[in-house]
Amino acid sequence: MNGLGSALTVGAPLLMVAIIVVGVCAAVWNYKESKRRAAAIDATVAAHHLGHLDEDPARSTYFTSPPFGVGDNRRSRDVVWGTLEGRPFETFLYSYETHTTDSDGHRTTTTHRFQITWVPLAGPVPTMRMTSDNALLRGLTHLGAKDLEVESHAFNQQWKVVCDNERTGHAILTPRMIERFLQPDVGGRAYTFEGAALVSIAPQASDLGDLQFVVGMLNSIVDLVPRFLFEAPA
Amino acid sequence: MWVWIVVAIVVVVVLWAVVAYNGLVKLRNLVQEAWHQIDTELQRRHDLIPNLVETVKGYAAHERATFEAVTEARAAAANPGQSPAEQAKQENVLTQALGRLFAVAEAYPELKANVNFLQLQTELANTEDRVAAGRRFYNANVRDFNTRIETVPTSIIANMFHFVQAEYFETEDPAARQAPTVSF
Repeated sequence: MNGLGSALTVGAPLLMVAIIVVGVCAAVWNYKESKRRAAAIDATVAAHHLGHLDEDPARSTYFTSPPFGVGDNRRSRDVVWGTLEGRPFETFLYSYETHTTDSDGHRTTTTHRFQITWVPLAGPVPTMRMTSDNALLRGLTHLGAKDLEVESHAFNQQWKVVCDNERTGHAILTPRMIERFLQPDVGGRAYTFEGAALVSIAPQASDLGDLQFVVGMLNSIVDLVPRFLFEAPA
Repeated sequence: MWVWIVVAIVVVVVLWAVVAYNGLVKLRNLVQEAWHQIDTELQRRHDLIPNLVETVKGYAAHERATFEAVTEARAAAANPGQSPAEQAKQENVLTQALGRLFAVAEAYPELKANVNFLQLQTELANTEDRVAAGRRFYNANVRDFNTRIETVPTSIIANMFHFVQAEYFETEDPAARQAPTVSF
């Protein structure tokens, strides 16, 4: 008993020290990572003559589909906008917080971060959300909402599609669009057609090193949206 | 006690049957509505064709066989009251005839530059996109309806009330034949 007591007496302070060391290391790593990310963003902004704002609360209300409108302390940081290869885009780091309380009454706050990138559509369309089989992104679609199924089994397996108007959903998901969404570069993120924008939602902060790739990929999707959706029938 | 249990089971079964029946009726109506939408778009497509033929005739009057093939295919496709499968067959014949008409147009640079022809071509492409979108929506509803009819236990209600499977509308999608353009 005495042996156990003395082990606890020595072990508890050691554990505390270990926790503090890990905490300090994590804080230093976070600081260095945010400095590196900020420098990378500045370099991208300068290279492409883009606009840049450290933070803009208005962006947090641009869209209404998840992850927007969820949780509290919603923030839109590192807002970058401009044109790439003559086509406009905007990207920002969007975050919000959720809270949980355990059985002992301890409150835990979790911060969720998403890199939002959007490009304009030729006109507004009913909202359609597409999430891949990425577990982090699955939660963005409402549980129980009807999944739009298309003629491709592979697409149905890979993507969950929820839309306000099924007719428009089937109009957007042409065979070529379905084929596009089965290509590997499109995976790993969620997409929302909302208003006159196609929004990409990546489940982690980006240093914008992949900005040209993401904007090009989004525009390749926009180019496949049938034109008649934006035109009144003759 | 046993009587009440039997009554409860009967009530649950009747309620389920009502819900299943109503669900089938709702789906069948959705299939019909989706078909009417396709019908409207097909009508729009058929209405564009005479103008298109007349425009091409102005530049290539001697291609009579091609014009006649398009006109005959259009008349057959515009014939009302066809089932989705019959309609699809006629539309495919019309699509092939139109393909030959556009192949003829390729040989006439002045026709290809004609504003009226270009406008008709764009309108036809848009209408075909609309038909294709309507077809996907219709077929998705048919798939839901037929699956419901074939799967147990709804199939029992479907058989009792003589719900029959809906026909798919399978046409050649001109847009699907084009290779996707991907830019990185």
